[in-house]
Amino acid sequence: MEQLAVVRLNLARKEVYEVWKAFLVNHGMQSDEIVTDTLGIYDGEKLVATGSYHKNIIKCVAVDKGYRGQCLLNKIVNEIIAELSQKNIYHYFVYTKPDVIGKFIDFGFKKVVCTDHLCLLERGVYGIEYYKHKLKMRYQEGHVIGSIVMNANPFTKGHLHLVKYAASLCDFVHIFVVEEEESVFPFSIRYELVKQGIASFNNVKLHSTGNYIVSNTTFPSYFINKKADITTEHARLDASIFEHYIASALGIKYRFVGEEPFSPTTKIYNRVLKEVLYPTVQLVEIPRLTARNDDIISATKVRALIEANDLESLENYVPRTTLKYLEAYKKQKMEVNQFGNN
Amino acid sequence: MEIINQSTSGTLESSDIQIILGPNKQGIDIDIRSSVQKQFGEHIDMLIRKILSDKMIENAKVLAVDNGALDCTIQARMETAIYRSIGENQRVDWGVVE
Amino acid sequence: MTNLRRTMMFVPGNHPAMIRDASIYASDSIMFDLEDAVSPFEKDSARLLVYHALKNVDYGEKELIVRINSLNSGFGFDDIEAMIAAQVDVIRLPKTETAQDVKDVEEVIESYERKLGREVGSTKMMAAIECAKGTLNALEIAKSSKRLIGIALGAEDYVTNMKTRRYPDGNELLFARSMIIHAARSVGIMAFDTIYTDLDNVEGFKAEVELIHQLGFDGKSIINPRQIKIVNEIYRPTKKEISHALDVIKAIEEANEKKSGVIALNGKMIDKPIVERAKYVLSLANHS
Repeated sequence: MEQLAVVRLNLARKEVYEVWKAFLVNHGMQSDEIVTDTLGIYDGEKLVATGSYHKNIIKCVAVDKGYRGQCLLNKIVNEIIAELSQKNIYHYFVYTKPDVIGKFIDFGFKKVVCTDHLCLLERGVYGIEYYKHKLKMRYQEGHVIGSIVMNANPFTKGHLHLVKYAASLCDFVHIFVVEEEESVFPFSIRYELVKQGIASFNNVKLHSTGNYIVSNTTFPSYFINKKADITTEHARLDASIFEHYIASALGIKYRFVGEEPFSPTTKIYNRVLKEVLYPTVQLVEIPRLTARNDDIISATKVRALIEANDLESLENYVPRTTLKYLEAYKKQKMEVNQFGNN
Repeated sequence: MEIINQSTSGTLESSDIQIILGPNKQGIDIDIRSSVQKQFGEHIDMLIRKILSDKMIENAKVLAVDNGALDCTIQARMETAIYRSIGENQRVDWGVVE
Repeated sequence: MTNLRRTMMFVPGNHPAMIRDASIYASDSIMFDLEDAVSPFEKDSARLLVYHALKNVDYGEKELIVRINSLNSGFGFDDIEAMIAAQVDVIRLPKTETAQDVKDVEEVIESYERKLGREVGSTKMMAAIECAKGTLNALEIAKSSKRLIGIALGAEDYVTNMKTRRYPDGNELLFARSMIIHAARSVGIMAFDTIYTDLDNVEGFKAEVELIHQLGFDGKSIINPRQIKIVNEIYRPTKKEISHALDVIKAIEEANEKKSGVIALNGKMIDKPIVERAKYVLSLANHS
């Protein structure tokens, strides 16, 4: 018997994609999923195992029932880990159904959190316990400890308003900037602009979320059929991580969010977050700040203004610190456009 | 020697051991998952500590996933991870590898 | 170590299970591969794995060979140093094209033997010929170093270079096999045949081994322990050959006792090649 080898699937080719997609559907997964690299094992012409990854997240892993016990899962995961290592990624995650986590535990993965339908596992020497341990070192005394999680893409007057509100009510406020790189502005810039924007407060502290607060783009929707359910599961998972690792490390009792006027998804997300966190952490929703023209301030709006090159209007939406950065950013961009053609 | 970068070595295949190695502020933290945990978990832990101490490494985080590797395989995988972790310009000194 | 090299088992250098298991199979030699079987990202890993296996695993009497990466690959120098440190028996050169290729590697081997305090000349060499140029230079390659125990055909690369593929009858390899066996024989070293990859086709494998046995090759490269028995059976001498060989040895012993200069058996002169042939036959008989 010839040993079955792991090969790369070129999903850009329609016939390969169709076979892969059908295979996933057969194994209870939707395939409208962002994957950058996909591997597979064929027995002759037949696809019998597959696995993908996107950045540091292993996804869409499935093995044909008739081929269980042949270590095909080992082979796939093995190859993915090898490729991730070549990209200098040594800490990675996998979402699976709760009934199959045993296999991944054998591979050295550890459970981060589980909901009824979904488990998040990770593998690496700096896992979530390490993250929690680091947070604990930054513990602040106080009766009323609040928190805000923000993407800050980029930091707006709305964010500033939220911080002001929380800081006035709490003895201390922990602010978390989402570390995941799925935004227009890179994490280092987003973090720096928040830092500058909140410099005048003496009862707030800035942290990063590590890899533990997940964005829509990396949350695996492929396990779940209905859009609304996806958001619910996502919120449950995030809430669970927040409660067990972040809030417990810092003694957080309140989490502040901006009220969501537009997106139904975010509305659902916030509602579930509120339900799951209660009573350990209370979710406090603050009405959104409006600009002078009664327009609600959001990072989306700010990005639209940047895109439209409308720097004058921007000052209504972002604090001085962010504006200064955006002006410099624009100037640099213009210079690149002018001289960058060589 | 100082562990500077994270690295990995080995595979999840039978008779192999996969290592993830990374810097640590203080001391040696070893996390072992072995298919033969009960019999050999302690042995593997000691062996890894010895390999690190032979290389004068005092601070490191190690995750080891063992599938029944021989001692000499553990030695090879650990050394590979170490050399990959201590920076680009380090070469193995074959006169003294043990 | 015997003087037999009927089967040389290829073992991928980054595969702990196969490296371990190689000790329990009855191949005459083991060739650990650091070259084509190992991806560029794992060269360092495989080198350390084979190094520690050579130092720690008990391979009994088997001859231990390591196929290194070429000197210009960026891995070859480290491979040679590591394998000399591990006291490997034989270093196998991949893709040998000229005598100079062998001499270059020999120079590196010698420098590391000195550096690591090994006896100069203790590391043997084997050269694999895997292209048209190497085949045409086979004689020069075979003559290029005293360290060479033999030359080998590597057919997978060879057929690619020749713009053909491997066929069941092996006609595409006839010229290369003939060149290599002639070069080896004219210099007095061994000749080894290439691997046979279709493990399911036992009859095809048998036919190929019979062919290379007929041509005079000393042995076959194998990729699976199941192939060992098949090769050994084909190389096993017949009863008639064995009894003749025993007679030859007996005649020499008697002649030595009598201090007689001329040795004859059944009225025929026995000269050096006949004695060597007899010894070889008995060695084959003892190990099959």
